[in-house]
Amino acid sequence: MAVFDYEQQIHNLKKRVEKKSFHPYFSQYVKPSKIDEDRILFLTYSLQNTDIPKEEMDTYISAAMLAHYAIDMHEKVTEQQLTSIKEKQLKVLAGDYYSGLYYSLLAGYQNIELIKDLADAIKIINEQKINIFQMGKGNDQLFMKSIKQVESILLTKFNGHFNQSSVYNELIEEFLFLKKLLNEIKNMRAGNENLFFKSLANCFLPHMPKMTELEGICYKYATESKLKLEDMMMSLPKLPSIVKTRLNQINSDYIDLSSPRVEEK
Amino acid sequence: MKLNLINSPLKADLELIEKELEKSIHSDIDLLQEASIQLLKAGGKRIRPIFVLLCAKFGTYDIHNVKNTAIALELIHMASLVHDDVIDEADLRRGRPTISYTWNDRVAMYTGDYMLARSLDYMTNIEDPMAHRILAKAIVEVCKGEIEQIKDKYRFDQNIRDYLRRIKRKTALLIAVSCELGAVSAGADEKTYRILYRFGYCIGMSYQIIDDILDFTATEETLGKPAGEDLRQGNITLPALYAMEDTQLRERIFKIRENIDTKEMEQIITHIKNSDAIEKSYDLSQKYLNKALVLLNDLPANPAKKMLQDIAKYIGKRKY
Repeated sequence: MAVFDYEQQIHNLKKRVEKKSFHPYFSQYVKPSKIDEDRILFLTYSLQNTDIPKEEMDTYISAAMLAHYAIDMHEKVTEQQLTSIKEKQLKVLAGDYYSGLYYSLLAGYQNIELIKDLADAIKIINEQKINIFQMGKGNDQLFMKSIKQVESILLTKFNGHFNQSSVYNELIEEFLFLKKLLNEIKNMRAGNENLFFKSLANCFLPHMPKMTELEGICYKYATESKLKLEDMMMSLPKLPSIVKTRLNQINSDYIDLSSPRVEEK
Repeated sequence: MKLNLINSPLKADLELIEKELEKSIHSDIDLLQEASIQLLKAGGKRIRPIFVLLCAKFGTYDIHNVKNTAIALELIHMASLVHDDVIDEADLRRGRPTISYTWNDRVAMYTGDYMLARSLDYMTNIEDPMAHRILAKAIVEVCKGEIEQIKDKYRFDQNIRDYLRRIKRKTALLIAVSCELGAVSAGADEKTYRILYRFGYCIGMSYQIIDDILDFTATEETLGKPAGEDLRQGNITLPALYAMEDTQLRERIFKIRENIDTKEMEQIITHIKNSDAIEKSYDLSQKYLNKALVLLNDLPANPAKKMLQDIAKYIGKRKY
């Protein structure tokens, strides 16, 4: 598929998810989550070389995106900057509503196995989120392992369902993991409330690491991830150019963030 | 009459469901396991699994197959309760601390999502695609009902039709679908599962109306919250709608807001209880129950039918 086709496909699917998830009452109180185009790209790529008709393919991708959208929305229920109780209530309901929609889309195509795979992914995501929340007994390696699963398991289960290569699963895992780490570093530097760093700090209790130490730890994991991605780019020459472009972009994000943070005196 | 007595012929299968429910929420993550067990142990009437099992008796009953539907529906119900407690910022559920109170909203959200995922996982053991379409549609509709409920809060100019539409989605639908899916999972014929859907719908409507009556008439000890709490929170239920037919009471109800003076609220509740609103509400509930019983006439006589009739009668008499 040409680069343009991918871009158009991502654009169309984004619109489709927006349209499907739209509810007039939500729109008054709940700011919609940003639809992650990288996820659409990976989901689309997972279905390449299959003989699934386009409409069915689009439905599966939309369903997976709605499942992810539901998870994202529920993550926002506990945000501190909620403006009203109604906003909180509607965020809970919006997440539940999107879950119903993803199930509904897959039930419409009678793909019971995919329902099972996505349900399994969501189960694992919530287990790992609780794990992250109660970190303190663990260590930074376990913490990062949980983060990686939360970020990518929905896509890797989807990928696995359509029998795509496991090498491609590693690419998804490393890419989304690196993206998450870089976002969290950016958020932290911007002074935003950050459960990620609070939970990571808990791994080192009773020692209370400084923010710069935690950032260093993240950066170490980000570097490992970046190197793995570079290797994969070499070993997966058939990657579409849009995927290569995104890999290069995330590499530059990594470089941009590499300048050391000035430690407060 | 207690529900557990009239269901004694199902005892063994319900015990199996109870064990399976516990198994279904098992997690290696301690906190998640603890939160889920807290909710499970809080009990509940297990009315949805009971309907699934009874309605499956109208087809080819196989507990090892139909249990999947029963577990799935109870887990969906439990997941919705956990999320409802976040929505209502409730500290207690059935007299016990809620998950959001014991831990926090974050744990409650994760636990609810975990339970919904487990529910769908169980449901995938049912291969009939129609069963999935029915359940998926019901989940979406239930959410729409909850959204309507929030939208209609403190909207005192609503009518009985608004209320009935809301409780259909909020409660009756999942009970109707429990009946329908029990029959579908057991391969019952179309006429049978359609009748059972209608039966469940009528039972669900009656059940919710009685719940709304009890919110006014039951004691705080039984309810686990002060009487009239629904109205104070802006949820306009059937007794309040009937009470508003009295112009004076209507004016006072119209002024209710979350920060209403406790004495004024107590007086309004007393007025509602002393008006004919409660009796009228019982009458409507009874009409739904009678309709449910009439629907059963078209089904073959068997022990399950007798138990469905008993449940309908129990619901009409329940006091908590």
